[in-house]
Amino acid sequence: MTPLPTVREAGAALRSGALSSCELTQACLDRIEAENPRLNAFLTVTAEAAMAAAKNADEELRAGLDRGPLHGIPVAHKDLICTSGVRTTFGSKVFADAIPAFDAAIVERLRNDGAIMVGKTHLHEFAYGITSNNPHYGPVRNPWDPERIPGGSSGGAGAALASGMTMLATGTDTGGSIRVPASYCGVVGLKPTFGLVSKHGIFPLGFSLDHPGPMARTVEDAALMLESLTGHDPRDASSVDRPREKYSLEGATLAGLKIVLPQNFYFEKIDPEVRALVLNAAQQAESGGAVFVMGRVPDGEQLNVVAQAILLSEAAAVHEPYLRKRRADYGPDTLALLDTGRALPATHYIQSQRLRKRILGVHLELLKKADFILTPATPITAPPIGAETVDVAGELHDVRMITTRLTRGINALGLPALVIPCGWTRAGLPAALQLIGRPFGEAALLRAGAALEAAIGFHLDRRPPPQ
Amino acid sequence: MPDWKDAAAVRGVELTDAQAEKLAAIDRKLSLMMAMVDWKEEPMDVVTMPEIPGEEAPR
Repeated sequence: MTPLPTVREAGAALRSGALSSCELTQACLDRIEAENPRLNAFLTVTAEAAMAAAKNADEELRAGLDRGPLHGIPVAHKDLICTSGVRTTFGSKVFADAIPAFDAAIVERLRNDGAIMVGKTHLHEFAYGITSNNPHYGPVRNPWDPERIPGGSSGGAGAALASGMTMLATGTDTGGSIRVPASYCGVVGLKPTFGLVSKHGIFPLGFSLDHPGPMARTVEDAALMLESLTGHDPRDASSVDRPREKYSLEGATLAGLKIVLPQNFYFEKIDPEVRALVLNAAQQAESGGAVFVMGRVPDGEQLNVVAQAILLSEAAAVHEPYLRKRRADYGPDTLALLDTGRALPATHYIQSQRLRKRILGVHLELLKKADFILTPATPITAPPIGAETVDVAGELHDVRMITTRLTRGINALGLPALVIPCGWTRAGLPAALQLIGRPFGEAALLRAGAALEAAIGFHLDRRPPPQ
Repeated sequence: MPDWKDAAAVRGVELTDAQAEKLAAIDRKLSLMMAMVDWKEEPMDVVTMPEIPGEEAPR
C-alpha cells in the first residue's frame, strides 16, 4: 500500500498536474474496497458521486478555479452528520433508512471548499459510547489490531484514516468521541472550542457538550480542515459570531511556551507504557524550549461527575420522543444510559450546570498563567472488542469510564483540545497525548501541536497497518 | 438501592441495580460538591431579554 500524501503534498501535486483528484479519490475508494470488509469503518460508500465530484474538481483546477487547500481532497463524514440524498443512519436502527434532504453545515462548507466526500463512517449507536461496537451494524475494528476497538464514537473515522481509506474525516465529540478514536487509532483529532464549528445538521447527543471537529493524519491537515469548518452559522444557536481565522503553522515552535504538566488526576490510573510515552513527549517539548510548570489542576473526578450528569440528562431529553415510539429499536447499552438519564432529577442537572461554571472559572485562571495543559489522551491503548473491564496498573476498571476519564470533563469546559499520537507500545498499539488550550485559542494550539508533532516524529512513521 | 428504583418507577422508568447505583453515586458526589461551594452569587445562566428595535407603540 502506498501511503496517501498529506493535504499540502496532494495540493502541490494536483496543481502541478502530477496527480489528479480522480486518481487520489480512486486510491481511497480502492483502499475502502479492500479494507472495509475487514474493518467495517464505512456504513455507506459514495463511490460514483465521489468520482463525479473528483472529475469536476480536476476540471475546475484546469479551468483556473481553485477553491483552496481542500480542493480535490477526499473526506469521509461521520454518519451522525446529515448528507443530502445520502443515507444517514446516526448509527441507529431508528434511522436505518433516513435520507436527509439537506447537508449539515460542515458538509456544506467542505463541499464548497472542494473536498470530495467518499462516504459515511461507522460509529457507536447515536454516538452514545466509545467502543463503536454497534449492535445494528457490527463492530468497527482497529486497523492496528482488528480484535480491538478503534475507540468511539467516531470509530469509523479513526479506522478509515489510520488505514488510508480517506485523507480527512469529520468527527463529533461529546465526551471524547473525536479524541478517543484519534488516540486508539494513532491519528490526530481536534475538539475545537464549543461554538466554533456549527452543529447544524448533526444529530445531537448533549446539546451543551457536542463539538464537531476535524480528524486527520497530521496536525497541518487538521488545521487546513478546521479553516474550512469554522464560521458563524445562525442556524446553530450556540455558534459564535467571530471572524474566521487562518491557522498558519509556518515557523511553529515550542520555544517559550508555558505548559502545565498536571501533578494530580491526569497521570493517575494510567497504563505505565502510556505514561512513559507521554512523559517522553513532554521531554521532547522541553528540549524544544517549552517551559513546564508542575501544577495541580481542578479535580478531574468532580468535573467528570458534572459532565456525566449533564450528558445523561441532555441525551435523555434528545431521545425522549424516539424512545416513546421506537424503544425496541435501541441497542441495550444506549437504552441503559438513556433510562438512567430519564431517572436523574432536574435539580441534579441544574446543580451540575452551576458547578460547571465554577470549575471552568478555575481552569481559566490556570490558563492565564500558562498556555496549555498537557495530559495523556486516554489512560490506556485500545482494549479488545467486547471487553467490559480492563486492568490498569493492577486495578480493574470499566472500559467506558476509564477510556473517557481524561477527555469527558473537557467537553463540560468547552475548551479546545488537540490529540496527537506520541508513540507505539510494545504490543504495536499507538498512544497519544492531549494538549488543552484557551477558549478560541486554536491557532496557538495547532502551532504548538505541529511543533510537538515534529519533535516526536510519529507522523513521519507511515507504517501501514498489518493486513 | 430501593429509593432510586422507586423514584424512577413512578416516572415509568425501570432501573437495574447497576443503573440505580450509578445514580446514587452521582447524587452523592454532586451533593458533596454543592456543599463545598460557597454560593455567594448565582452562576446559573438566566435568560436575558434582547432589545428589539421597532416602532414606538401608539400613545
